[in-house]
Amino acid sequence: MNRKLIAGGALVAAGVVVFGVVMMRRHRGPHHAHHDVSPHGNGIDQSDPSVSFEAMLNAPEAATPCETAFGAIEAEQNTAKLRGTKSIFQWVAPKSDFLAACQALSADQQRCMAPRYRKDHADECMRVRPAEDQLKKMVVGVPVPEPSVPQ
Amino acid sequence: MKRLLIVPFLAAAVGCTSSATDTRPPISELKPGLNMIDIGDPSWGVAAAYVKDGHVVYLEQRLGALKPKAYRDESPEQPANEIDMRFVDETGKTFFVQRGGDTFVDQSWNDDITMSLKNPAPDDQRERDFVLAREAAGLFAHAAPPELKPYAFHAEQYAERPAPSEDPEMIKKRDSIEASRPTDTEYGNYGFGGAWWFEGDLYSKNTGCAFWVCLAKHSGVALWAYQTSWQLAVLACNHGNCPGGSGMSYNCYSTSGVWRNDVTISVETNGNTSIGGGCLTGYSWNSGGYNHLCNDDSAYELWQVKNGGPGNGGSYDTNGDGYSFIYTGAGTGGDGGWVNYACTCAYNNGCNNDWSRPICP
Repeated sequence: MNRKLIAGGALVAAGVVVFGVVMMRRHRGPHHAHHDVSPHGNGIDQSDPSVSFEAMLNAPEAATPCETAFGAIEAEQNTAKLRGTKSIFQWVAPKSDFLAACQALSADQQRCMAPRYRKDHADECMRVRPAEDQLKKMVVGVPVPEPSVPQ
Repeated sequence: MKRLLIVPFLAAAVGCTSSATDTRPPISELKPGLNMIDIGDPSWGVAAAYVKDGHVVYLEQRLGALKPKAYRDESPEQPANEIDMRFVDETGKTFFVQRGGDTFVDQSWNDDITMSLKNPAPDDQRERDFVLAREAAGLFAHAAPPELKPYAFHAEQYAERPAPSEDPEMIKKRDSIEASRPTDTEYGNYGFGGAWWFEGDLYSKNTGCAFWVCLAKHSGVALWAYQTSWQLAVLACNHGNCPGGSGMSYNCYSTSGVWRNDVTISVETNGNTSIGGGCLTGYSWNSGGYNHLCNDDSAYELWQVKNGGPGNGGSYDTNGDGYSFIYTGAGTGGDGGWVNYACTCAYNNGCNNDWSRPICP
């Protein structure tokens, strides 16, 4: 009796496995994971602006967020110079002026001046955006032209 | 006796195996509600089905290449990889498809789009399909285990959008299209039955941001095909956030302006060295005079709406809308050959060498 039960149980278990495999084969089809490099994506990563941003993100942490921010800008400018390309910043205040303007910001805003912090806290930083005239005392980016309808 | 028990079982199993095909399970094999058909290999993708009131829609996603780091950094809440997603109706027709990158991970999806345009579904079925798809997406997003988080993300994003038949904007556009539909005449029915009306919706977001200064825009286009109902949507994410999804703002739309037959939609189809629509150059954030970028992709996708298809090379400015997809300046080696598009588009006022989004022609 026990042998019959064991045999029956084994048969049922085997059946479940076979059925499962059959169903998986029937509906899954071949799986070909696609992990090729995207030509366009790769192009973006190798572009000058991407390298510039990487330089800012990799700049060392300084004593304060404002000093970190200025160090990041310097790193970006040095990278652009080395690559023979233009900086993504149109104008940057001298260090003393930059730090003074930065330190006049709220503590929340100062934290968001550090590129790494800003990257990880995008929404939070967007909420504490300083006034335009405060920003312009520190840095001016290359403008993004908005499209216009033909006249 | 044992042999008698074993033989029919194995015979049945062998029979099933020998007839196995890579097809979606028919509704008769599915239970009401969400069915997880294949979720065992997140490195490949997922497949699910949703059954309600005797009808089924299938949800399929495929994992593509890693997104550019710039976009991953900018939107860490989004999946790190480009992901294709589509919904397929109970007759095997694709009616919604979203492409993450340069090409579909599964190239057969291109053919399926073409098939859907050649054989549209009855209006009531298609309207129901979009509604079911939304329900399916919501259920999938909720039921997906943690390892399927990237797939749940796109499903959830889809579920947050209204179906076309429930979307006031899409209803308004449908009414507008129908109001201007040519009427039949005594000389014959040329009410443009079987022809298509296209619409392209442009979305964009700021990217490349530091110190509250954003130096670029990422853009994508949602292409819609209408016949007597909204039949098919093809969304081009252009390597980043997808149109209509979180973080992307609606900008404007273009329409075909005319009814077209024998249409195709390929969205952006080129790599660095091959042409499916117009580009031979590298890809960048900044066109730099000869590179092209996601905004060129969007321009090209919007242009497809005007053209009724991707065209076949040469000059693309067939509608006289200012979109000349020919660039003959620096970077061509002085041979005057056409190398990329959206770089001399006169109406964009400097889309060459900019980082901006295109206009809607």
